[in-house]
Amino acid sequence: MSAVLEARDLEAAVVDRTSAPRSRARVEGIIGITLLAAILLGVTMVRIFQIGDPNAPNLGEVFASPSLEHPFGTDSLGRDVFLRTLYAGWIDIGVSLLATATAVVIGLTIGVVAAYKRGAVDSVLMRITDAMIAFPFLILGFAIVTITGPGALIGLYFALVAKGWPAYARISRGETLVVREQDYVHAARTLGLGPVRILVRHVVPNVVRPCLVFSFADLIVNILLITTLSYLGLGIQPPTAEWGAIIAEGQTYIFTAWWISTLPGIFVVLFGVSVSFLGEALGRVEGSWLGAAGGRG
Amino acid sequence: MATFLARRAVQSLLVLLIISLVAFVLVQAIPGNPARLALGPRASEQSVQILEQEYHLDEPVLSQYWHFISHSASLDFGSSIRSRQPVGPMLLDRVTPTMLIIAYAAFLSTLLAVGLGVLSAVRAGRPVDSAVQVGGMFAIAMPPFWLALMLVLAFAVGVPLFATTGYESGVGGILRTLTLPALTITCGLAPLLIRSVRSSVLENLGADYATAARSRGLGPRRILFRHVLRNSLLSTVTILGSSIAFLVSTTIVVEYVFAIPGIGALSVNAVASRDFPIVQSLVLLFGTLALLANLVTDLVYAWLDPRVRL
Amino acid sequence: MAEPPLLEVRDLRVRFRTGGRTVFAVNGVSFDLERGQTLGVVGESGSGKSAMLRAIAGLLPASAEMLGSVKFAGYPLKAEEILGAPDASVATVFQDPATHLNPVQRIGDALCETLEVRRESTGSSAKEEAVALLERVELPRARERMTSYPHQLSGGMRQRVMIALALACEPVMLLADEPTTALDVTTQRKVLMLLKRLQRETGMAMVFVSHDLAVVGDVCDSVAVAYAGHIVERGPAAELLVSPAHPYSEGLIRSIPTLDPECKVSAIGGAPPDMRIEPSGCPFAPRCPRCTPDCLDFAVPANDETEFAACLHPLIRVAT
Repeated sequence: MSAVLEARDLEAAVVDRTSAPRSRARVEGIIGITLLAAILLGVTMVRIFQIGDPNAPNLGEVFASPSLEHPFGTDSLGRDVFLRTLYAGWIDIGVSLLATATAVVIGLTIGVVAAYKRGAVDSVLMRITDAMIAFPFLILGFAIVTITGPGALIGLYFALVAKGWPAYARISRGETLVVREQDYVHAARTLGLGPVRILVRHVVPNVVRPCLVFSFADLIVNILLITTLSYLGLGIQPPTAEWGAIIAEGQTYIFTAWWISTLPGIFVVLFGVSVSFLGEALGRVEGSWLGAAGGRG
Repeated sequence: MATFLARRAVQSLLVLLIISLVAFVLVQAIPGNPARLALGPRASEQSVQILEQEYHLDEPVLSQYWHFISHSASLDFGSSIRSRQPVGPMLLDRVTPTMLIIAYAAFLSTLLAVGLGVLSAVRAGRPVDSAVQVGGMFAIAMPPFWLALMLVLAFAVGVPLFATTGYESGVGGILRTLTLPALTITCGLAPLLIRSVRSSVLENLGADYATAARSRGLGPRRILFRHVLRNSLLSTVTILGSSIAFLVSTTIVVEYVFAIPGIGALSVNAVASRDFPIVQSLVLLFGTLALLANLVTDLVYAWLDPRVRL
Repeated sequence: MAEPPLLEVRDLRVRFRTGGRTVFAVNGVSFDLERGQTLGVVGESGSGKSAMLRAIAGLLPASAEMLGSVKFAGYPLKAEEILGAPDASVATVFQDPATHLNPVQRIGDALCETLEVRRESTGSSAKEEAVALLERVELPRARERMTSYPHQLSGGMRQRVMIALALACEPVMLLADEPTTALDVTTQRKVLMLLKRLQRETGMAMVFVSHDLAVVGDVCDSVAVAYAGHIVERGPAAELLVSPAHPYSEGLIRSIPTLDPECKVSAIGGAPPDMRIEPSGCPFAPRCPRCTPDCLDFAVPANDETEFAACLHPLIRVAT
């Protein structure tokens, strides 16, 4: 038995043990998709059909503890916390998704260009990337949100993009450096294909995958950051429903009406976990666009 | 080694320069006159002008930037435009609890990472492993301020073992006041490290040198702890070092929730009031910290791996 | 009753299960090895020879399934027993010394550790023994090298360190898995000479796996030819390599280029069988020039004789 075949077998054996059993991947995938679908469905339905008014006070029903009618209870103004949580999801998830996608595109472009051009371009772009990674994000976020004015979604979006792109630039630069030395890229160059064509056809497809794998974790981080900014009073302003703001409002009453802060927080955690599960499961499915077996090609 | 440090120093200075530029531009872009904001709406136009002169706000933008970096280079961070107190001592005063929280959290995370990472690697695919993995996914999805709030709820009402607000010095005081903040941050950091340790341990257990060690009759325990673990920590060190920016940001929020007089509350207020000397100094401080962390990471890596030459 | 052979392998089968597929790596191998003897196992890539060796050494990965029996000095062999056995010890030398040495461990520490575990020798006595071992494998400036890391040594020096580590186990049997393949030609020769000398000095038996027939002819007393997880032919090295009986052995020998301009090199037509399919019939039949319809249904069963060819239509061995 050759060293090659055996090396592959041994590796496969280790990989088999590394990843969780297939059954767990399937269970996680099912739970992830179901949970995510339920959350997204609830969030969009409420928003599109304008079910209920998340901001209408109902002073007759303040601080109602969780019940069938109000699953997350009501707050100091008698507003339904569950309804507010669902409305908040539209903003939080929407802005985070958009910002994550933008950061992938910007970071990927910068990383691929830096690695492909090398030399001075690479040095300058990478020093900027280093600087942005070392820049304390929360202060960056504070500043951007302060510039655009409190309550402006665009500020939160910019803050997340500014924080997000450097990681993708680093990932895609590293991958591009590997890919550009591969034989098939050399071959393409020898055949006289232009750099743009080589980049788009041969390099980018290989670089996208690790970026997308990372983007699942990044989306969760972005959700946490956007809620953090709002929690600190720098993001979305009351009375607009936003997860961080709802939790901040409930903090005052944490010892008397625990549900106002606690339950929306659990909702946020469940959203994050469902994204994680989905990302994990997709990563393990062979041949899928995030699958490990795809290989570089 | 000398060339490495020299090259690294030049690179770091360049990065710091970019950081300072970004910080400066951001502060410039925040609307409102800082002097007017500091003195309040009822202050006279004249006193505003005097303050502007004092802080070079009446000069062109470029010369303002020059004042900022030339003074920073000589470690003169100016004084707060609001409280008029010198920034240097103010930061020094507040940086201790922040650094302690970061160190505490990094320590807890490393401890958990080695323990649970090795455990779940050795029990890969078993229930313990699944529990650690899924637990990590939950931990990482928790907003830090929410988790902090939950800990306050649990420890203020339930077990009054730890303080839920404020900061006390001394070992006992630190344990009492900083354990919950450090735990909050650990929840966000440890899962990343655990994953890294787990996958490196698995990879190294299957590595040729581990098989060879097995063939010489070395026991599994010895192979795991004397051979595999050291090789596995290499990638984990890198992740820990590069997560310093994350640690700083999380600490700011966590300090806010636990009302700890660290850098956190200071930075929130400084940005809101356009107290630019404080904001710029903070950014430089944290930037330097992150760069130092990267340097330490590289040194530790080189120390752990004899193949790496600096 | 006669003393049992040092190594007795009966109907050894190894399967790897990877990602829902099964690779049949070894499919019923039997042989004996006497004390002090050297058996060469030759075959192409994928013939199962390394898996065979690892099964004997107890180093198969967890995904592998092993059937059949391996007896060492008459006792059934389980991985833990063979590795822990103090006086009937087996050591292994691997193909690639670069990956089989711990990159972050000084070679002196590796040797002392092995001596501590295998011989309960510690401290300065272990250190002296380690230096002696390095000198025995002819590592230049042995004492200084004690503090070197593997990456600071050349490939040949690393392989010498691996051999010293094996010697530290005081083996009665040495398993060598293509120990010279990763080395350049002049170093190969030196390492082979070293192995031969050490074997003479210690009287250890050796199983020597290689795809290089010349090397095997040089080192081994007898040769087993592996193909598709079977041993298709076994015989004394001097005879088998000159006048093989199995058509596959003949093809293998004919495919070696020589310096003789008269001699024609010929490759064996076709490709080795897919190891993921449970084999039936003679595994070489599809490629065999002497194949008859019988060969597709019937395979000559595994045999533990020291001289045999698993073929219905063997070539006639020319007496030498």
